[in-house]
Order: sequence, then structure tokens, then C-alpha cells
Amino acid sequence: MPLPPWNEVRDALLLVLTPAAGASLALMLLIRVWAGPRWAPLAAALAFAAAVAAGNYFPEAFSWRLDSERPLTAGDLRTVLGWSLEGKPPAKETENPEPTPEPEPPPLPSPRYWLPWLAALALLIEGLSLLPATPAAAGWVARTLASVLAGRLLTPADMRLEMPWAPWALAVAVLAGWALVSTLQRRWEDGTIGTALGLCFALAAGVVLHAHSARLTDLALICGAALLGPALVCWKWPGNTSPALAAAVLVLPGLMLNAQYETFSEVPYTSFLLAGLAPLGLAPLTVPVLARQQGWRRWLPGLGLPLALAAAALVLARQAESLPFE
Amino acid sequence: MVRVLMTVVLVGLAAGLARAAEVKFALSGDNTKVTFVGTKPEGKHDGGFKKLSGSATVDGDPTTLKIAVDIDTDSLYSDDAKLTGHLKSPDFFGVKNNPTAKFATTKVEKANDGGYAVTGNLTLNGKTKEVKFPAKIEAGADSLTLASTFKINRNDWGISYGKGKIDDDVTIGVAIKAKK
Repeated sequence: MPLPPWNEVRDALLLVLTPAAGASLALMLLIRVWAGPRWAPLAAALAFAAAVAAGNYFPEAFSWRLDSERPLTAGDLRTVLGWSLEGKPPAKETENPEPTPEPEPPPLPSPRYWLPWLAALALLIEGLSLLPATPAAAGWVARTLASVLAGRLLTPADMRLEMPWAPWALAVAVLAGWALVSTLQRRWEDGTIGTALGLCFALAAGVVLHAHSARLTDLALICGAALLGPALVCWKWPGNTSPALAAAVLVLPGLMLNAQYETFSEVPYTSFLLAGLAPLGLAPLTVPVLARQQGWRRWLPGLGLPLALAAAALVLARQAESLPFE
Repeated sequence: MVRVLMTVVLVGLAAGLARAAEVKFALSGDNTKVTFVGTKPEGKHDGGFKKLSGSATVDGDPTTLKIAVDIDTDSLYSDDAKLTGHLKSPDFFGVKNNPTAKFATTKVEKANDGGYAVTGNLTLNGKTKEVKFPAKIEAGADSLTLASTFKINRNDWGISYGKGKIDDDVTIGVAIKAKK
């Protein structure tokens, strides 16, 4: 696969990857090494959030504001949340020929608008679930509800009409990935899963690049770079980084679903599906005999299985579509 | 003499009534062309929109012209197939989330150069901004022609991908040749 022109690579390195990776590494090192393993979940959550904010500063790949010229208000969030959950209501017909002037409503956001908000929710829920005072059942209920909410918000409205099962399928994918990373990371506490997910995002970025969207490619790169801190630091100083991993497994399938929906290219649907579901490649590792493995017997399948799915996705994309600069 | 005067008055009234009658023209991709030219240091790309629908009403005087059109953004085309896909993606027009662009006039004034200045609201990428552009307009009883070329800054509508690599100004061309 040829590399993009040097100026594009340079801009991605300087404006996207370096800020995101730098923020992720710095915060993770600072908090984990200074405060100890008990603070690893908080360190991972803050590292992920800071990395996304830093990486997003220049490209604004995440559209977290409704309108760049309109201040973000709680009322607007409630309004668009209602639209996103139920679909925007049709304009009302009134007998009054002189309609009462109303404040201009906010613009209807794309489902991608909810990605950073849902990622923040995942960070919070996973972090709170790890507290000793939180009952395990309450944690799983919260994870399930968040996954259902993500399924609903991240599925485009007309896709929901054509395929009413789509939000539920997305919710199941999110919850399954969340359960996998939460369970495995609690057991292993090393950088295997963080590294695997980071590389999955990098390969997903390659898929989206073939689908001709630089904005969504940047979005995938930001998330991959945001996992660098939790992944690398935990190879040396183990700790439970599941909040960051939970945010990642929520974002990845939602991102790939919307990338397939919003882009126009020959990249097949299967490519987006494999890239979005790559974290589920970890499923065989929940088998007790595999979960107990140490060293390379853990790293090899832990990295290899998800990456195999993500790599297959990229191969399919490459076969179907050429890059814009080729 | 009185009869002559009465005749003149009646003819004048009839002419006035005829002039005041508004004529409505249906606009579509067949009689209305909307094109754009995007530029960058290495060159330029042409494109446009094939499908639109709307109407133009005028009563003979171009300053009474009112235009309202909805443009199907998915009908976007360009001089390169990959570029067309890229323009439709979230990097530019995001047509899946913004399937319709709109334009509606608010005012048409006579300009000093013999043409007209058209003011209206352009909705693109989910944002509505006022635009003002020069136009040559001819409005008859059964035909309307309008021709204009003007520039917009794409950042005003949140189409900001490629800052520094792709020029911010985009040249828009509008040509209407409508018949009743």
C-alpha cells in the first residue's frame, strides 16, 4: 500500500498523532507511575480523554459542537438527544398564518456527534464499576444501558427505518466488546489489549482512507493514538486500564458503521464490518485454558486475533478501491 | 377628446394590470445549472449539481424576482470519480446527513453596471448564511434568464477540510433559462 504524499503524512504526524499520543503517554506515565497501580483506571481514563481533545484540536475530526458559532447549551443537547433517539418530528401545521417566532432550533447533528459524549460515558461507567463499593451487577446493568443508548444514537435515522434491528446489533457488538476487554484487562493488567485495540484503530483508519474520508481517518487515528499511553505504560507498569478500553470498543464499531453509511466508494460493507468488530477477536481468550497463559502464549493470540480481523478488513478495502492520491 | 382620454386611461390601466401579473416558472435541473469550481495550488476541479427543484416568480421587473430552490446534494458531480466520492463524504458536503441544499432570494436590486444584485439565504452543510451576488436577469412574459458567477468562502458553511491545501474561495455559477 503506497503512502500518502509526504505533506499529508507530515500533517497527520504533527497535527493529529503527536498531540494525541503525547497527551496519552504523558498523563498515563504521570499518574500511573507517581500514584501507583490503584490509580491506573483513572490514569487511563484521563489519558484517553486528554489525548482525544489534543488530537482533535487541529483537524476537528470529532464534531462535538452542534454549531461552531453557537454556544453549547444544555437545552440544545436535550433537544437534539430527543431528535436522535426518536427522529426529528415533522414541522407542525398551524392555522395561524403568523407563526409565533421561536428561537432557532439547533441543527440536527449526525450520529457521529455522539461519539465523544458516549466515549466519555463509557469512561465514567467503567471507572465507577471498578470502585470496590460498586456492586458487580450494577456495573453490568450500567454497561448494558450505555450500550443500548450507543446503539440507538450511533445508528443513522434512515438506517433505523430500513433495518430496525441495526441499533440492537450495534448495541450487542458494543456490549460484547466491552465485556471482553473489561474481563480480560482485569485479569491480565498488561498492555496486550491496549496495543491490540490501538493497532485495530490504525488498520481501521486505513479502511476509511480507502473510502475517501480524511476526517474519519483522522478520527480513527486519534483514538488509536489515545490508547498509546495505557498500552505502552502497562507493559512496564501493569494496571487495569479498562475505562480507556471500554471507550475504544464503543467508538470503533460506531465509527465504522457511520463511515460505511457516510462515504461513497467501492470499499465493501464487509470491510467496515470486520474493522468495527475486530475487538471481538479476543473472544477465544476468555476460554480458561487460554486466559491463564503467560508471556508470548498470551501476547500472540491477544494481539493476533483482533489484528487478523482488522487486517482482513484492510485487505478487502485495498482490493476494492484505490487511494485518492494513486 | 374625452373619448380619446378615456381610451388612453383604459389602455394604461390594462397595461398596468398585465405588468402586475406575476409569472411563475418551475425550476429543475433541465433549465437551471448550478456549478462550482474549486481550486488548489496544483490546479482546479469543476463540478456541479444535477438535480434541483424550485420556482421563480417575477412580474416582468427583475427586482420583483423571487427564487426558491432545493438542491439534491447527492446529485453532485465532478470531473473525477474519486473526487466526487470525496466531495460527498463528511470532509465536504456530507450528503448523507445534509441531503438538501437550499437557496431563497430575499431581495433583488438594480446594480450600477446595468445588471442586478441578488441577495438571499444559502443553506449548505446544515448552515444558512446570507449571500449577495451580481446577476444578469431578463424577465419576460414567458421566459426568465439569469446568469451569475460569484465566489463564496466555504469555511462560512463549515466546509473546512484541507485548509491551506485547498483554496477557501469556491466559484459558483448559476444559469437559469426557464420558459413557461
